[in-house]
Amino acid sequence: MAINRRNLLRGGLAAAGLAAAGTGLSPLVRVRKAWGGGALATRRVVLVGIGGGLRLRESLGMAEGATMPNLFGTTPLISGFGSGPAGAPRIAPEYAAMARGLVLPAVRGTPLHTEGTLVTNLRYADGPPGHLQGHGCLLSGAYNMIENRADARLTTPTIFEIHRKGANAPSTDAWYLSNPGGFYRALLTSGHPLYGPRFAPTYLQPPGVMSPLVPIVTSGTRSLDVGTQALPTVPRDAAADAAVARLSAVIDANTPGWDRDDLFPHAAPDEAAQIQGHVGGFFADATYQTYFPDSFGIGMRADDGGLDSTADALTVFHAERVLDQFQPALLAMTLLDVDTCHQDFNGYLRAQQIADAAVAHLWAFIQAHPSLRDETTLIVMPEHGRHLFFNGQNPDSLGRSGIDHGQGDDGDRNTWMLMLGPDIRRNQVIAPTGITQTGRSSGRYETIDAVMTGMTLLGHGDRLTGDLTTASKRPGLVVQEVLS
Amino acid sequence: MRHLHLIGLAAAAALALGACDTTYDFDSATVGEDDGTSATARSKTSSQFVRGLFADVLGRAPERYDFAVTFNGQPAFNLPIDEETFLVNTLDGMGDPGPLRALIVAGIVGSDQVVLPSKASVSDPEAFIRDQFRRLLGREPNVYELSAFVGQWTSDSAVGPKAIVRAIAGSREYQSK
Repeated sequence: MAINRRNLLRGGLAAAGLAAAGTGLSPLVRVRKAWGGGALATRRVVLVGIGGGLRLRESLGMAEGATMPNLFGTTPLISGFGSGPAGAPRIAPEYAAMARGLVLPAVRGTPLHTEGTLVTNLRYADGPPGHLQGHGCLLSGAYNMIENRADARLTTPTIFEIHRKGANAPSTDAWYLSNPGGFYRALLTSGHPLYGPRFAPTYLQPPGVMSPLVPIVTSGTRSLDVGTQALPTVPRDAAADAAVARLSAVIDANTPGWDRDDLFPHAAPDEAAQIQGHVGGFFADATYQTYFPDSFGIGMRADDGGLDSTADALTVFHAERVLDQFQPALLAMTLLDVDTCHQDFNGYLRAQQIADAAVAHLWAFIQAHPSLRDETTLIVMPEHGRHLFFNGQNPDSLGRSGIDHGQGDDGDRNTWMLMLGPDIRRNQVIAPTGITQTGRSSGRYETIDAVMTGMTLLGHGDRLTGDLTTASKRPGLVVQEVLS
Repeated sequence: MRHLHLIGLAAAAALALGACDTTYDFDSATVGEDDGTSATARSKTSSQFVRGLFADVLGRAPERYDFAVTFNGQPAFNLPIDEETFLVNTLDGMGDPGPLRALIVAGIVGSDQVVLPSKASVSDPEAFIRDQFRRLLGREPNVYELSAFVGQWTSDSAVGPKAIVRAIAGSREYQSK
């Protein structure tokens, strides 16, 4: 093997690593030492961001009934809103008469928060409480002012970039699933010069991709009798797919590589083949049931008595499929159905029920999966809250109307975080105060701390801290109280 | 890997001892990466890809139509389809559109819309492959490409006309501007 600059560097780094082992500790060891030397069990982090803004009042406060009983039970977990056991969500009668019924599984016997730690006073302390800024914070650990454009870029690296670079991980080891498309694509990679598209996660927007219309349109079929005709599919032939990949590679060998600032990230060929196989499996299904089977049991009642998806339910269902197939170290997802609250307060309450059931389903799925259950930490939190006041849109008979977000009042900024997993303390509801850090005025744990804690569990805490500090951003703190 | 580390360690040790007077000045974070001076490929947009694929493989532009759904002969509903808009939006649902582009190509090539000869009916595979390169890439295959394609055609039963079209359409050359 020839000695070139790259080999030399690798060797040099290996040597440097050996030297460091004698005098210092690797970041992961430092993390473990910090919590009494116990070994961390977490190998995977799943981050669920409830996008669109969810207030304390309706979620933990249960002021409109118990909208998230699987996560939080039916008794308010914070004071000042609902009192005593909360009943069912208060849906306005005229709305209930018109709306399609929800399909929800039986509520858990004990709420999910008893299996982990719930921080009830998290603060989204800085930056606009807007969609891309809020989720940009969840996916980077940095407050930011990113513009709402698909070609906008965070100035600090995303958690996907940090993981892929830090762990030398393939794109299939870091996934981002999003209910919305559009400008949320901006959150895959940053504009940081040491990161970028070559460290992008695999991004999938299930509501945009996972549709039987794909095989229908590609088939050219313009009419279909669903009672008598076979449903179109995209043919699947593993031998043909492998042959096609080999032949494409022959041409690619004569073609320049992708520009590092190309319009799209590009997975390595073997990773792309795995992703194609995964997605193609759905398009090859002639029953159309695998896109979103009735057995998922969460969604809206279809006219024929079956199950129709909601975008959030579809996103969580496909997150489970990705977890099953790829078992990535990092999977983040963005839910967004609660954002209907801008115009539809009752829809907001119902979307909380769906998100609640879907997250509980996700955790049950993880716990039932032999490769995931003992190694996966789940973090759930809203990207931010919503205003303290109604906006007057579509008032209902109970005196409620839409609620926006973005002005930054306490309704916008007071939020919560639920963490579950092998390294997380169980059955703990806390609201720590007196948290100090230069530049921190909240005195509380903040959204950036949830991200830092998750990344620390993955062994990337030092890298995230270093990158943020270098960029003059305030890094989050590890929420020590949640760790067992 | 072990071999690699041994070489690297030896080199590092030599440097540390001052036994080598060659120094390397590099940025440890970017060493070995493209320096921007070489030619690189840039992706077609999803719209360019879809329109190009329809023109090259179907010989037509994407269309708008009503997809008519019936149930046991009874009209159920019509769904307006704009082929380009739908496929572009679908492609935007993935970060790297490559795997999905490949599936769209597979769907179209595997459909009744595309009339390709059966493998058995192709008497001159080399001529067929040359035709597809000219049609999709606008150039002749070079001798290595032709040799590889013909060789695979001969040795692999999975390689036939559809696989040839899919492979060319899936290449970085076809996918880039």
